[in-house]
Amino acid sequence: MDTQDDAELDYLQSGPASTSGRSDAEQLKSALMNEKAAPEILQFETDLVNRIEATMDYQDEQIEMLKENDDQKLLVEIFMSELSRIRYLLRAYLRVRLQKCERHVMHILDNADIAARLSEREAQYARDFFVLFGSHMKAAAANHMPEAFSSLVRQAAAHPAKDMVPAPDLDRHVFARVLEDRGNVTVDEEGNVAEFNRGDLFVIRYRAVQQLVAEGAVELV
Amino acid sequence: MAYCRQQQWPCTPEEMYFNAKDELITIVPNFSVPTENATCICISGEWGPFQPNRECAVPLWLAHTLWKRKRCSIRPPSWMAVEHLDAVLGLERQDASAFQPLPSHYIEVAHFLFTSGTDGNLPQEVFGDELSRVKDLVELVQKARWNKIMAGLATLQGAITVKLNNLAAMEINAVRPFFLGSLNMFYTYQRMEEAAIGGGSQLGGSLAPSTQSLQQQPARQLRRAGGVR
Repeated sequence: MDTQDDAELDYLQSGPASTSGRSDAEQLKSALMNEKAAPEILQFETDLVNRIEATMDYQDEQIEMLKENDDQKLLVEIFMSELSRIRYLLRAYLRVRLQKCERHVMHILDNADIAARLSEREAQYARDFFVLFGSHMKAAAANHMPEAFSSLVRQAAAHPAKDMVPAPDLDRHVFARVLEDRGNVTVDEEGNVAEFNRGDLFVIRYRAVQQLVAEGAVELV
Repeated sequence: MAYCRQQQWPCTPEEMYFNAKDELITIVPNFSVPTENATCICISGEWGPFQPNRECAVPLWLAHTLWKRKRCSIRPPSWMAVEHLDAVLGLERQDASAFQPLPSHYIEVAHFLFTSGTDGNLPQEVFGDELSRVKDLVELVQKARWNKIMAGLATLQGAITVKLNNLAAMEINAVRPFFLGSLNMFYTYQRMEEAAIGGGSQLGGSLAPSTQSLQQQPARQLRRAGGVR
């Protein structure tokens, strides 16, 4: 009875395994979910994206070659539907990152370590967007205000800190699934701990798992 | 508007269905593929071997593609057997504090198997006579779990860390705006209370820069982007 139950419940094992055992498509899906759920922009997965783009190009060539052969129509259809799925995942990933860039452009450009998480093209996009956005805001509103209050980043010229820059809210709660056993982890300022075992699902403040997400021990759902 | 929605609902139901299509399901193909191991090497992995009348496990999107072209028949997944669903339903009702382990996309997979036969007879083919029984059981399991979720949400009292194992993807997505939104609000109020107790009268003060913690608090509290839902 027990062994039969174990065999039937095998789907439980088909959850996320260690990162080394996952296919590129699964890693891309996981990166996309992380990016969607996290309030701040995460590290760009340069290697993963390059590999996926190379595989997609290779698959395109395969399809072209097979198309000439009439009795391989089924394979062609399978490859094409899979290709469109992967393309959608990649586009969604890039699109979510661009949205976050736009939302927090001033914050990203001000902090060098956050700016380092962007890819080359995203960094260029952020700079161009900032220039356009800034010039539009100045022309439409800021230049019509008194000199002392016309800055885009400070409430008043007398303030030393840039207090009008919209920054991501790291204290938002997120759903997090644990991928590796990490034992006890501090979850808030009072020092409360929770035990992180593989497969646990938590609702937790993003700040508490920020480091673990960056390491890949926790994924956001 | 699109921006607000994106903050509350990062994943639309259509996207959840898309993710669910990666779940594995068993099929029996009636064709074979002329490659080395009779397998199909795709970007997401090697699926097969595709040999007539031999079972193999493939993702749901592939099963659907093949089924539409009448190249395979789909077997019901093992967790959808009547006995197993009966047992799960019993345990769900018994244990009021934990959720029973089910595949994380069980709702989407069940929905797909029950409804996507408009151009053929998918549900009838897959389940045969047990179709209505399985449908009822899945619905009962879903309801039992949903009641548990609602009861749990009603006991929320503060910005705490909650552990809920075995919650399905669709269930997570359904409670996401309310659950996360209320926890965020609790946390905001908690911080405001602490600031009021500890910091004195700096909240909503004048424009003149204060000498105390200028970095953390702007002289005038600005409405935070996304703070108003």
